[in-house]
Amino acid sequence: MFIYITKRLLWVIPTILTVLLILFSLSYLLPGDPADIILGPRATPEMAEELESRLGLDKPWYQSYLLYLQNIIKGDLGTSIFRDRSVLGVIAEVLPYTIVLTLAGMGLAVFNGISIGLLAANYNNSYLEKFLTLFSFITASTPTYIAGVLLIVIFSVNFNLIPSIGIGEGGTLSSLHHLIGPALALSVGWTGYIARLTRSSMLETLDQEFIQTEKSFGIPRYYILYKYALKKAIKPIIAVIGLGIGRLLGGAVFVEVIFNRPGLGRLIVDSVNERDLPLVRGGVLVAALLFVIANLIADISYAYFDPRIKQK
Amino acid sequence: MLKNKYIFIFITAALLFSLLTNPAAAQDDSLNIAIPGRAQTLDPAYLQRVLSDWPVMNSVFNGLVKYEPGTFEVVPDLAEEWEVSEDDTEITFQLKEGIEFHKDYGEFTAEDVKFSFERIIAEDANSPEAQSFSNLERVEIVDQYTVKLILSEPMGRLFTSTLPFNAGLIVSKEAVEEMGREEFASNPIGTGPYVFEEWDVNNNITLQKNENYFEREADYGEIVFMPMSDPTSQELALQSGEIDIGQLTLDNFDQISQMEEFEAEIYPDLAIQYVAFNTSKEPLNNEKLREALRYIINPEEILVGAFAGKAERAYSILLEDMTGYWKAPSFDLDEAGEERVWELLAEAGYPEGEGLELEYVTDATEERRLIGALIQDQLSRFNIELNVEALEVGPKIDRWQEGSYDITYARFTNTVDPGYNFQWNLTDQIGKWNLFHWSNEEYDRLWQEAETTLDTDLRAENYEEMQKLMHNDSIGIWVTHGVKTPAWTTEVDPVFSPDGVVLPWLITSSEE
Repeated sequence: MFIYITKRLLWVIPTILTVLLILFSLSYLLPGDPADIILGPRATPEMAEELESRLGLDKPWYQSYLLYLQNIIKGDLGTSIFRDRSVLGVIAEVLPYTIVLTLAGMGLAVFNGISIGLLAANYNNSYLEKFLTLFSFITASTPTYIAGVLLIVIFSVNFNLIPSIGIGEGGTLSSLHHLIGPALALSVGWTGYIARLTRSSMLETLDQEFIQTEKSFGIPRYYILYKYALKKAIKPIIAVIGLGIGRLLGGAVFVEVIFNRPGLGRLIVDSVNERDLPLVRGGVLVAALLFVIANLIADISYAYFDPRIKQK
Repeated sequence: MLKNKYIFIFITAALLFSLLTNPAAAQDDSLNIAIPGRAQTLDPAYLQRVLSDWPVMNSVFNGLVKYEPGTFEVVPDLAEEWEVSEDDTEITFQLKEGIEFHKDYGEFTAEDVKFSFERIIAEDANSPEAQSFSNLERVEIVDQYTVKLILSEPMGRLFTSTLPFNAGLIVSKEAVEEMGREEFASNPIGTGPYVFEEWDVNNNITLQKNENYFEREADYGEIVFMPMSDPTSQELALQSGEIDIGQLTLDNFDQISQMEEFEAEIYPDLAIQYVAFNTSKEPLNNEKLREALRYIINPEEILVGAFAGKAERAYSILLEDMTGYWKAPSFDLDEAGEERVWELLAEAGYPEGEGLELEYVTDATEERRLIGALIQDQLSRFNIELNVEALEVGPKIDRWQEGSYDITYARFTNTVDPGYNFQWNLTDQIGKWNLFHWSNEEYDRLWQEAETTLDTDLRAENYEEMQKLMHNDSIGIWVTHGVKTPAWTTEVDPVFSPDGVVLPWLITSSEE
């Protein structure tokens, strides 16, 4: 197990280095004169010059790449062009919102998904099961963007139950209230997936001999279902949760824009629109790190739950 | 287990309870206004995005003069009156007395005027507004309430766009010196109708009413500016009652503006969108050919196709009520007859339009591609082939500056001063922003003359003349100024500038 984890950890290094190289080359890959694109016709020559030196375009590329790496190792991601603040500071301010949103979306997806899956497995071959299968099929294929807009139209515009924008004005209650819509929108796609997985895993388990034995002992049905079958069937589900985090982080971009919440996703979208290169680089780097960490957790939990994997 | 159950029940109850309280009807004394993106800075000397920064600055600061609400006419604001010297190079302002800066930063005096303007032209300022004050040499304090601007040459745009717009806003000298430039940009101190309160993590900007405002006190106690870059979520937030004023998309304009709870209006934008011909390159260096194209390309069809028929046709770079407006004659194909176009094509050396192939460079956005396709279709009726190239901003600007295209489509933002708006077609802008790659000595001379006079009649005359020069050379086609489509709930009564920018401190509640 130890060797497996070390191997996985070592893989992180080349991944991050590749991401860094791509991010660094952004200012060279972007066609056109950066000063013209970023600052527009109102820029004075002095402003253009200052910008070029800030983007490291006044030095040969290998020098600025080394400088870029050096700074990152020191934890310095540079300064935002339009915010006059350190990139790290800007990101640190909004990152907690993305993490809370992702965790809330994950929690909802797991809770709802497992509930639906259990129901479907319990009432196998009934109309309820057919309905639930169709339901999870539809939710699994609904894009986050559509889910968000639909939720707002139904629950904010028509019924005026949940707020459609913002994070609320302080207070846990207000924050939670503002979290319902976004978290639900984020969870929709993953809910269907987990429901389908739970159902098939449960059905498989219920077919196994030890369950049949328990049945013949006359143990009550709900007891078998929740005490024995679920305990075994849930393992593969826990393993895929790690994978889900990466996917949810991607979905958070849409949710943050639609629901007008602060967060890493919206920050990246805004900074791309503003062509704030240092901020784009910093934001994408942090997102990539989160993604890599989530995948690492997924890999390790896979190995933990299924010992066959780490031997490969 | 039991304990967890209680916590669970408590949270559920709390959530249910909060669901019952309507989030929209939170505070009636507070006004929520959507802005199309994050404000970049609140320091007037460094304004970046007019649509996001300006409404906030305009509520926090005053200038010496301002536009009379609802017009572009210039009237006194912090200045009582002013006097212009014989040669137009010395302007003496008499200031209003007893006006206080926000948050106890003291009385507004001539010191603050000198500081506000000289910080823009200072060498290390790096302010994009330096060009707005291009001829300002220095500011002289005569006494506490009298201040004199000394110019090296008369400045045409001083009263039309410099002083009443962001460059002319007066900041508190004491506050800037105490905080430094960076902090001031997110903590502005002015004399305006609203006092800056907070810029939060969601980039919402909250302002509180200035109780000691020297003019009529604002109606609403609080204004929150909310950046919403997604137009759909702006429309939805308006409908759910979470914002009071926002913008509609053209697609949904009719539907929402007809609802009982909302009002909406269409204003022309201050910008100009146009089709530009590259006059310095084969084959469009041929004036006959450009004239033919002016008949063939029909802006009306573009307006219907790409602007849902909501945008007005433009006949000039300027809006109709601006100094120097001249309505260029429209080239109507139906009126002139197709025969005329075939003749022009033949005269230009392309009988039947055969063999004519043109390069069209445009943005990769959906709207611009659509416009390209419409023009392509119009030209194909005369056997002219148009290759539409939709590019990202960077490569597009590269192509513009190299001049490697025949036709392009552009949108330029304008100010109220014609001199600013006409500067892009000067000879020395070729290779920069002169998209016609057109050079005309007379145009350059007229522009320079108008730049350095305060004589409004002379300026108007020159600008009209310059528009005729562009018209005679058929360098392009003005299409539209674009539109702004503000919408608001019927609970509020907003006031807008002629180009549809909301004036927040004049908004009143219609319920009283």
